[in-house]
Amino acid sequence: MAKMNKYKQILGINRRNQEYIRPHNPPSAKKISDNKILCKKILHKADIKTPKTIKIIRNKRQLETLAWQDLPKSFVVKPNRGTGGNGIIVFYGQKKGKLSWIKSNHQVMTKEQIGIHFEKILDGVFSMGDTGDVVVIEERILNHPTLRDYSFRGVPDIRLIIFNRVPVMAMARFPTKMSEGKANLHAGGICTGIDLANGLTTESIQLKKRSILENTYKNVEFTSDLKENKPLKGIKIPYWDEILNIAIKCQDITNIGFLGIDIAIDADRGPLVLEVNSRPGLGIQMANNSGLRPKLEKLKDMNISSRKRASRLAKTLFGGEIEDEIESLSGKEIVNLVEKITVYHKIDKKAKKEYQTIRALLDTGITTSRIDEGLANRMGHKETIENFKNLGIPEEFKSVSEAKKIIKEYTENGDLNYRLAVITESAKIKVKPVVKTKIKIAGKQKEIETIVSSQKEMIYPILIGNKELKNYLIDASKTFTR
Amino acid sequence: MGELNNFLSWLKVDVITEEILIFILFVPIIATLVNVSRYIIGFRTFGIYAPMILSFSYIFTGIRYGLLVTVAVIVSTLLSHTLLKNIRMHYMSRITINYTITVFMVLIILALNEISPWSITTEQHTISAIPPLGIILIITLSDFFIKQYIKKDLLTTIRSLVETVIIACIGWLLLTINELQNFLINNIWILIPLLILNFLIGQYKSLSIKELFRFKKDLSDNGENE
Repeated sequence: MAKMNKYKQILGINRRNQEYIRPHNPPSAKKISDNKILCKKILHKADIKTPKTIKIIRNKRQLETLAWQDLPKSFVVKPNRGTGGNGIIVFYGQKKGKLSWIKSNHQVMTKEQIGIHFEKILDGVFSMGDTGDVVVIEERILNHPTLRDYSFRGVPDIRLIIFNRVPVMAMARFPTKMSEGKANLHAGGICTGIDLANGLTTESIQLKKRSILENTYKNVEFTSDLKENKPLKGIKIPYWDEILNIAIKCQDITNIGFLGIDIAIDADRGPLVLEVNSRPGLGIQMANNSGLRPKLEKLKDMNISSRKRASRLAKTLFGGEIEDEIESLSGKEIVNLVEKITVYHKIDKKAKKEYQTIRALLDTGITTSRIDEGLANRMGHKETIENFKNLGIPEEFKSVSEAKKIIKEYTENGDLNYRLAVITESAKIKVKPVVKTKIKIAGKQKEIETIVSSQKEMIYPILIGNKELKNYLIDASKTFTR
Repeated sequence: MGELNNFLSWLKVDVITEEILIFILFVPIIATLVNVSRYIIGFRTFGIYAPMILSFSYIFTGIRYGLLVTVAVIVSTLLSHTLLKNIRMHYMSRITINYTITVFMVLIILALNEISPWSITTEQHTISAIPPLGIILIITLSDFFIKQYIKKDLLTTIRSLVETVIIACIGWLLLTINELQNFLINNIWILIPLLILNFLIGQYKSLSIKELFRFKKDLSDNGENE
């Protein structure tokens, strides 16, 4: 295909409606996407998992006789034919002994207030058209541990666009403090592009400013307002292959030719389809920093015979070239298994040399890094090491709990200006001092915690542990330094 | 052409008044305006009815007074919605009460306007020259506003409101141009090119101006090359 002008690569609403929705999404297919109960039924028949339905309230009489006490501590309320996430409320907990539930922003809603919301749903306030609607109460999804660290309270979801059986673009949406537990971009959630080839997250955007004219968005690299903010690049979305397969299967079943699908990953049940959408939004292009049009054009006249082929096509056609670009895609620096690093002296003035270049082993088998006692002495930790030796702590312990007890004793009573840690060395449980060591690895300086080890057979004077290796990819084939 | 002119004169004299004819001819003009604003500019007005009705209302009330009533209606609607939010009742009852409170509040705001030193006056000769329908039509804006506000957030709703009012003001401006009025009643054939224009907009597939702004960052930074 001829090279497309940059702005022509973006799919706008006008073209989406005329070229993709109208010809490819027949009214019968839209019926499925616009009705959550019907959609769930159809997906269940095809063994696609969705959040479990707890209760359906069809009219005001059923609402009056609702057994509130039977509702679980946490649940989600949805209008059956709601659009754009309107009318959805997630309850995270229940007030002890009361018929009141707590929302993500810690606001409490009483049974009466929730009742008003249910009535609004029944009146069709949040739904398409002016006729009434049905209340759907669903189980709340438990956040998958991998994604838990990146979201503020709510559950992140994965949005995919599928056309002609092939997933063409994907993004993850993370709830933030600003978005009050919601994952929508316009509510302030973080949207992160996903490389279809491997399920690794790429660029991220977030709402910068709401404005009467048009909201503006900014690129973000880290999560915000969390206890520990982490880089958003290079997150491996769990169950990626399964997610792609679910998306393709969903299109086969619903017959929505231009389909948006939202999937959340439950800690216990894995990927669950939250919603299928026959009018998917186009903000996904901003999160991926690329336009949908060339991808859709490529697929227009293709005849994709099997689901397996569709999944392969998605990865090869629209995935990044991972081998060449792993660094830029995942945002992780590639380092060698044995890497030359610089270790800096603790007190510069007294030291003969301010720093020293040594070879370090990047050991993903240990959590905290280790430093050889001799090197630690040379680096200015002699005082700490001698002080530790004078404490008279036994050489080895029978159990970890025993060792921890000793640490607790010394930490509470003594005035140690360093930390103690339990380690297993040559199959023996030992207590060792921890010193802060300044190093330079792959061109970046950082201060790391190292446990002083007196192990005789330490080939490398420093072992870099897992704690420090989160932002690196280790190339095990090379042991030579750059 | 001569027959068409005869037909028009007969219309103006025996069937309807000239004023009604002008108003009727402006209906497709303002609808076209909404059509252009939706697909070319990317405005999300409250449908096609609201901006059209507002344009005509502003003719009755005068633009300054009309905008004052518009603001009064929106402020009152927001207040009454906040008051009613947590009270349990049927949907229609809620809307009706909303209208009642809104009307009450609008009266208060208009009264305050009258006694304030910065009072906004109508361009019409006197308030009594304003036909009641002019104000009633603006009050119905409350319904459009609240229906969207319940579903979407306040900013999105206000954005739609502002875009609706902008289009209504442009519609009002066109309606007030005497030359345009005269041209329209003498050149009713203009409806045919208008039809073609709307047909072409119906086929328009490119990005709207608002989308260009929305995706500007992507366009300048890094569009994907094949």
